[in-house]
Amino acid sequence: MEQVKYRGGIIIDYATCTGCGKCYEVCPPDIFDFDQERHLLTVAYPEECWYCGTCIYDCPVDGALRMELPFACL
Amino acid sequence: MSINDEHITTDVLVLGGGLAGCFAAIKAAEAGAKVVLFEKAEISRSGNGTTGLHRIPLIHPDYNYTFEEFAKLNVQFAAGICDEDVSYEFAKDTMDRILDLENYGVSVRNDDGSFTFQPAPDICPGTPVIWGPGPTVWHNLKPTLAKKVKSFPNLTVLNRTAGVSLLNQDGEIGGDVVGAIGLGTRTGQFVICQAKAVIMTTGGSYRLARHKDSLYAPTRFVECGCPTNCGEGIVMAYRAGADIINMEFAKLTTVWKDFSHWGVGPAMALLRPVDGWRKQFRPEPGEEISLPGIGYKRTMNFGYDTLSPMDYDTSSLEGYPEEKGEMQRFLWALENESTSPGYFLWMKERGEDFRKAPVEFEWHPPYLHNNQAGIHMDADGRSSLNGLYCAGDLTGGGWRHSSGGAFVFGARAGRKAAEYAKEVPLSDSNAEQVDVEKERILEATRVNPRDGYSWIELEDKARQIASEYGPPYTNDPKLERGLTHLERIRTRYLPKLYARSPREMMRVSEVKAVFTTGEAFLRGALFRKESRAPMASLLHKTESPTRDDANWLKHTLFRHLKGEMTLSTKEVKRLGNK
Repeated sequence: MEQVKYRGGIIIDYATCTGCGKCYEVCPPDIFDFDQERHLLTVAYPEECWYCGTCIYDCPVDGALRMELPFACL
Repeated sequence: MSINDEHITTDVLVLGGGLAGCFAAIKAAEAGAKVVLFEKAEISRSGNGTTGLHRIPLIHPDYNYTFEEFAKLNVQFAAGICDEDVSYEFAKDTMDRILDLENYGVSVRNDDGSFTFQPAPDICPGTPVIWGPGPTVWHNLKPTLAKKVKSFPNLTVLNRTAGVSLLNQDGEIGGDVVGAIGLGTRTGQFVICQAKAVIMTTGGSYRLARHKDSLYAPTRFVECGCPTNCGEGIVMAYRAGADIINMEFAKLTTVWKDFSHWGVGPAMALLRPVDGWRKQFRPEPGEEISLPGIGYKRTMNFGYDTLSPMDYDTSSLEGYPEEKGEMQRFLWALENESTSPGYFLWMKERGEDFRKAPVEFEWHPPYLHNNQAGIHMDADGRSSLNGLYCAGDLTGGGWRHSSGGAFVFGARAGRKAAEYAKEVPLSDSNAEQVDVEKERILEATRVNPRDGYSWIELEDKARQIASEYGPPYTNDPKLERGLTHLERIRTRYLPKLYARSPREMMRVSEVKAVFTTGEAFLRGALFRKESRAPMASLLHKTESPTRDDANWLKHTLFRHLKGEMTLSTKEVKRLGNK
């Protein structure tokens, strides 16, 4: 069965993300996964994003993280 | 998932590292206590202060009210259900806590040393508040506070550790509180903490009633308040035997339509509505709110009984570009209001300029947030249990003290807990109680997911029942029916909640708290045989549609007795009465 993909969460620009793990450290609902060894960041729980913007505030790189609103909020 | 428990001891244990918990920890550490703080997320960005605040209460006779005047006003806006002494004591300390923030590195004044007072009709029309002195200044309030917390050598912070149970002397419910159990949210490890005093500062609940899109939707945590907060602190205190009050008086508020976040306040403060239906949207101090529902609708409801979105008159504002005049203040107030930069993205995605397009608000489902509901607290942050203190959005007894309440009672609880800890010995935790409380989480790890239910299904169902049967508009047969449904789901299906990971173990504690707060919400409404419309709350009962002070000018009291939620009443305190 095809998995339905929903809009929403945080989109990572891997070209600029430095893999510092700051967003993983601070996210209140803990939506990220971070492989410490490979410095690889992923969004494990996009559906649990609060859309607070903490990750974007605290990310040291401009534009590495982008917020994508879920459809119901559009 | 069989990791050995960690065992630690401390003088003061703070559960929850938000605005209240940080102040509690700081003041307890300053008093020389050994302090441990459990935080479910990470303290530099957690709770309702995550990305900042746009306003903080400041009551002072030099600027606005005497403390007596403010306390009287608060009682009036609370429709009488408010301990006047708590509001008086709150007002007394607001200046000192703002000066503390200044000492910690938060700018609170303009260049000329003045404070900026602006209205904040969302938190209570009568509460004077200051706004930050310039754009984006307060969005780093939390990291600044966290830095102060981390500066004490006698203070240990355990991030990603959620408090799940309190521990009583000899394991007796109602006995002195002697510690607590924490759960590593990423490790699944239990931390058994012996403490001479515990301060509960886990915030309110933004997961009481059903999210309008339900939990099945990707918007499940698009809530006005921090979604990590679902009433666990209230339930921990309740289960340990502390007095809980007024759970039927949940908070009702408007939020931006389709985004569900706070931010109405800045709009109301600065932009004038123009469709003519809200002439009385800011009641004057002393103005009586006469009818339940209708009075409230006029004063705090923006969009509920109107049939169209509201337009704003921005002609008084220095408009384009956005950086000028009052529009700047509005934008940076929004930017600091708990959640940002979500707002800017949201408006941009809409492609609407709200200065020209109608602004829409909607109701957020009822939630628990520093209204009358919560752990009954006295003016020193004490609960009814020895060794248990509380502060912030989970307290009942005071009313709508907002971030100021977190600072004031966080500080008081911290100091009082440290004093208490000097006088009492460290007690052993009761091994049987520890096992029972651990098992409350662990049992879910043994349920086979194929035969069990997810946290999403169970939580959404509990919140659906709370929404469909509970306040604001309800009646006794409806409430009884709702309680029957809740009990049916709890006994038949909740035992089959499964947890496959540490994250899902955290959800077990949360979901069980959602059931208990929902039960209290319905039971309180059933027990109270009257209607009452405090500001930012409402209970309207079909069979008893009017306010009945003769019989019901009281707190509704909830106690955990012999495993049952037992209701009675408790006297409301007034200044001058003992």
